[in-house]
Amino acid sequence: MFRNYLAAAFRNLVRNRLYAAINIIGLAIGFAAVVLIALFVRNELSFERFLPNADHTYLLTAAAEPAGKPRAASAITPPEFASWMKLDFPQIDQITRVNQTWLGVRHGDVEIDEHFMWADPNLFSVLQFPALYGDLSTALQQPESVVLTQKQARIFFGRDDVVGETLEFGRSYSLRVTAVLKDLPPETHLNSEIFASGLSSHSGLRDLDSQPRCTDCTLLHPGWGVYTYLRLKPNASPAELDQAIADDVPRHTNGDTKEAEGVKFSFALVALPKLHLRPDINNAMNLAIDPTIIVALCLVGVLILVVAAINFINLMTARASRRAVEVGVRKVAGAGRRDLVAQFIGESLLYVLFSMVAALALVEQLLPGLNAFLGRSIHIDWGHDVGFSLGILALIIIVGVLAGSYPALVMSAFRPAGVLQGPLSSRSGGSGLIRQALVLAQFAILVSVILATGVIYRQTTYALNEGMRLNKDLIYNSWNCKQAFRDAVAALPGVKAIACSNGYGLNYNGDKDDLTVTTSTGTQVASSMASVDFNFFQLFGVEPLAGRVFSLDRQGDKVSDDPKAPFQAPVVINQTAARQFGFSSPTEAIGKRITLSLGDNPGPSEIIGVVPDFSVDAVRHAAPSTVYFVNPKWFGLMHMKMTGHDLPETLAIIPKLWDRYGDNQQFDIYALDWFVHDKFADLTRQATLFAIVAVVALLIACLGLFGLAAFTAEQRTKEIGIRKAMGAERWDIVRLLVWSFTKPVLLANLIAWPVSFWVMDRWLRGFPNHIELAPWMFVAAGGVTLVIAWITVGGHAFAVASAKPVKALRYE
Amino acid sequence: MLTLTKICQSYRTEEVETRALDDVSLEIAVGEFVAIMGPSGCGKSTLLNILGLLDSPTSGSYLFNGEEIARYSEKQLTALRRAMIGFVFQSFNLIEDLSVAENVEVALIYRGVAASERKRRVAAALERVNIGHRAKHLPQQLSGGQQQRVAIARALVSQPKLILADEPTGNLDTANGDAVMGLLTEVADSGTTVIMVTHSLAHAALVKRTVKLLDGRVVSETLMGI
Repeated sequence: MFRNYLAAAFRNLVRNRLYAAINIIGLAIGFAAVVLIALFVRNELSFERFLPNADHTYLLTAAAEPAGKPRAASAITPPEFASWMKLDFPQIDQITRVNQTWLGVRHGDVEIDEHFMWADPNLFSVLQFPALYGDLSTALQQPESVVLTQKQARIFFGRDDVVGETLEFGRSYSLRVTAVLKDLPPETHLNSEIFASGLSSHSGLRDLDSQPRCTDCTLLHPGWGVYTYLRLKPNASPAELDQAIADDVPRHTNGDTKEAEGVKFSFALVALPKLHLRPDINNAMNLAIDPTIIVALCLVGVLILVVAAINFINLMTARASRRAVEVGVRKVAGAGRRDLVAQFIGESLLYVLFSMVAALALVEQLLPGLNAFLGRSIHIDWGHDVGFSLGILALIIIVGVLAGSYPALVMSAFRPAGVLQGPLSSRSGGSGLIRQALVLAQFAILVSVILATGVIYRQTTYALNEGMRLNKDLIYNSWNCKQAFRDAVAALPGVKAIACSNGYGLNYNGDKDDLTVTTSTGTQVASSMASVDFNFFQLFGVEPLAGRVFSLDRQGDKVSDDPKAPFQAPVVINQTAARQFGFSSPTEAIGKRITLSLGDNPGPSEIIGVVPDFSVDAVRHAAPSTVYFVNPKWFGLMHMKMTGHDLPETLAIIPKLWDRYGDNQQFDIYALDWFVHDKFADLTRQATLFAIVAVVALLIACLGLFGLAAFTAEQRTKEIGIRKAMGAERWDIVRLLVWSFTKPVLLANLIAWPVSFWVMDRWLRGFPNHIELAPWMFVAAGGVTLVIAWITVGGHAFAVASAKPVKALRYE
Repeated sequence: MLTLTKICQSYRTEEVETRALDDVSLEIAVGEFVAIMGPSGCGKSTLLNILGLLDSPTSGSYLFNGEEIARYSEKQLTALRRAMIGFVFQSFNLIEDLSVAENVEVALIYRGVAASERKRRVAAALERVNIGHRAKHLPQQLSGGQQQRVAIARALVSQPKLILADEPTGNLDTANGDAVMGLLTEVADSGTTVIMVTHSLAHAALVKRTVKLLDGRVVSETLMGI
């Protein structure tokens, strides 16, 4: 029996090659997209899994919730916590800290700026990395020791076993390599491959441990924090420990921290595999992914599969009449409806199987490109990945049965009496209404996906450009602002202007330099501060909303050089600050005075200007309330605005000027544009992913539409011949055929628009700054879909309409 | 074998009711070879569908081997059809995607016949109609006469008690038509009841009994030699 079914299925497939190809290719593309999305999602959920006991290894995070303000969580916690936590909480098995820094690392001619970490000697007891060479249990016990990965060993030394070699840091001190680790996978939150002993005399950890906390620092000051990892003993409850830490903190901080009133602190142990899914935690080493993106991608994967399945169902049912004789004969021979349903579902499974094989071959071809795009190492372990194999099998069965059910029911419903006597009916199988409904559903999904892609793309370009509300064109930054060097660079013809700052002016990473502001009414407000140059605002094209900004012509705007003088320099504030300080408008703030918690002798400062909220990260984090003043002693970041002429030559000269005028520190320079693109790499990647998904969905839908159009034209051959014989012209026929597919596409917009509006509006509201959804976006999405449908159907309709009428009339 | 009593068949659309058969009563004995004739639209095919259990009458009684089956369910009709009836159609109705042998085999695969037994019976049926040498060919590769012989083999392979042939020579030339009639006569002579719808007077003359229909009614019955 199965041989009979298989023979019928195979030969039917070969005989109807065009439609079989459309079905198989459409399903294959859909499957490939779903498999790639599934692999990506699985990869996202696999972070830190290379570590033994990853689920029981935690990062201590802390959160501050000022009264009336949103909660802000941080991956950085006070360095002193580890020592008293180990003593106070017996449920902690091991606790360790790392302090991250960025420095030039050199061996021979190879010198690279690297993130590296100062680490407590017991780091590898908590983060149990696999070692290649050396003993990790003692590798960091020696004060001037360093451990690096295999990849770093090859970069600096050209080989793996480099235990005993030395590396130079910051051109000023050397550390000895005591162990080499196996390379860390890309799926980790760690952004360093070099771990130096915290016992070193140069260690940032040692600096933090040996100094008292700065008096102006709040508990979670970003400049006074480390990453604290711990392992708990079996059966210890992380949630209970979270509360216990919160209860214990006041006893240990003892009023040493400078907090604005009403700030509530909480602490949470986050298991390492979950860190990657916590974009709400600031100061993380690597960007986390928003879990809603994972959900959205899964949903999109399902939608693509639905689009492909709709194609399959539509084409199979439309062509069901081709199998009517077979169904009639089998029924006459005694086949029950169940036998026929089983036969046709079996055929559907065959199509799905072929499609999956093609899809997996496509996935293998696309994986290297996907890995390069994402910076990951996703691969399929064909021999051992049981979960993957079972998933593929489940997908084949579910899609094959679900998508094959309706066509099977349609085909098995043919009555022998109706199909076996006389000429075959030229009507297609199944309800035309259901087919139209499926096309409508397909295009509603397509319009929604295209709209979503367009909105994500617009929001991304907004984030990279106008969302920042500053002009970043031709601006290059360097973390060096020595006066002699600055003057030499300013003299270059290719340099238009230079301004320095302390690095907080552009609000990188949501960084804030904490400050307490007392308004004239005595209200205290937690704020951020930035020391900027006289021409900082002009360099970035930021115009004041009220009052004025600092200017090179007004040297009096500068903070006094006398450390004993009260802090009374004029300040510029941003719009958020004006609101939080109680001013009803920017203009009202001008001339008013506020007191900043700076120095030993804070005095009232006059607000001379209010600027718009601007920052590099404006789209993702609402700009904090910020107070700007000019204090050249705090400058560390140089911003260079180029003219655009001779740019490569200018960029080549600047490092040479550093060699002449700078100190022995390594020099670096980067375009602000590059920094911004790197910062929003995840958003850009999302936009690209969704664009790819939209193209895939469009391709599948067009394949299906093409198949249906071809079949419909074939069905209406006699009608077309008669119409042409009666005088219809080519374009009359094209319009007739195209209009039958235009109706569902137009109607699809009525479903897609409200659904898309609801979804995208909610997505956009997750950003503090975002684009508005404009009517033209919806019309454009619908229009694009319609035009593509017309092109798909119209080409074939034109060919059919061009055929001679006599060919059609001989059809019968 | 078959007794129809006052069989009526009506088809109703939204606006029109068509009475395809009107009070048809007929008795057919085991082993008879009966021809049903009449102009187009007289109800021949409708009568054949009811006789072949492909359709149920609107009213009346149909005894098949003594069982009243006019109100049988689709499942019961299928089971009875599987066990007792073979069909031969004017347009052959061979499955294009199956070979000659596989087409004949279709009549057996729903009867639970083992694969080896199916193979033996298919070969025997093909030999009986003299088309065994084309077992592996597809229907498109055969002439009309050859295709009809395959259809007859398919009807015979399950050893039915009744064969219904709906204008079996309608699409064939004279020579092939005569050959098919020869086969059907042979089948009837072997004891199988054969009922044939035909337009051909020449072929109707070869059978023992002819029933004429007009406007859904039996208007005459002729016995050969009488």
